[in-house]
Amino acid sequence: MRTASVKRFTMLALLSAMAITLNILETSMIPPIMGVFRIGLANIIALIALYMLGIRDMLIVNAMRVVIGNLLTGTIFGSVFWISFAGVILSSITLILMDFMKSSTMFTSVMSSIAHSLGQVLIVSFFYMQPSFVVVLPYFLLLSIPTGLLTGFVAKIAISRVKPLR
Amino acid sequence: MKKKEIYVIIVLLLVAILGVIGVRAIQNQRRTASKNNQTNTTETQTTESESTLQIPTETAVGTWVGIVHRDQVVQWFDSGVDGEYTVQGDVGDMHVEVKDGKWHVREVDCPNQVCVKMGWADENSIIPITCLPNNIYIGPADQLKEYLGA
Repeated sequence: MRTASVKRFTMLALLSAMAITLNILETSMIPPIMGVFRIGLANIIALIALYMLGIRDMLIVNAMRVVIGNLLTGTIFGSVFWISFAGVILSSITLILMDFMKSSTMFTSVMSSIAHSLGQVLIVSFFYMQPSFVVVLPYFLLLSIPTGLLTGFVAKIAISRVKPLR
Repeated sequence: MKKKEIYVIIVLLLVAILGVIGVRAIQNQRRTASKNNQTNTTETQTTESESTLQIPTETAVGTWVGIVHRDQVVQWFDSGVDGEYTVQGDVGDMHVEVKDGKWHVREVDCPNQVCVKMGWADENSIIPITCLPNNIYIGPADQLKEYLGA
């Protein structure tokens, strides 16, 4: 019992660290497509966390990724933080739904990627009062599917090599 | 992947492609419509826009592009004339460079530098160059009319 909880806690910390690192690396090294669209490499870690540890710990990893990632890049509680926070909330909800539906990893990844960009577009158009920003939604949808497949593929490879703890 | 899921992804892809085509079509329609309006009723157009946006009345070499800060146009520039403009935002100064009918942000005082990374834009760009911390965005006159609801 005790060793299991320690193992779980260590795994959670490791996954959070990986997610934060990937988030910062992606922000600083990979130039965004069309000026605003990013691949979302940290989504891989969210998928692995969902598979290994379960829903509750996936939520912790995702929240840690946004809060600490933004704390380290120095944009916490700025506009970028709220935009990515909205995206993460919506994509986490989608991940939970997909987990209940027992879908495959690739499909889960695509859906959460779409939800992530949907959340970001919605918060920009409502809270920054630029309704015409919804115009980019089809472009985002078109770009989300290949990037979701990419992250899903990487997550699938990773998941086939680890043991679930849940 | 299961078969059902592949179908769902294909349907989503089709929806996305249709959406992109639809958006493009609507944009083209609006552009031609606004051009027709301009050729037919040039005088009424200019007087209308003068009251709300204060677009410069003289004809531009390229198009008139406005820099908007807090829902107000603080600087107009002609995309056909090369130059550099500096505006004051919420955080600090923003330096906008214009060259060969395109414009970009050369330097800005803010932590994100998103607007610098957005690169060069012209009148056909989908997303206007935007700086959220500074509350500034840059767009051509006919787009600004939509954004500002004028």
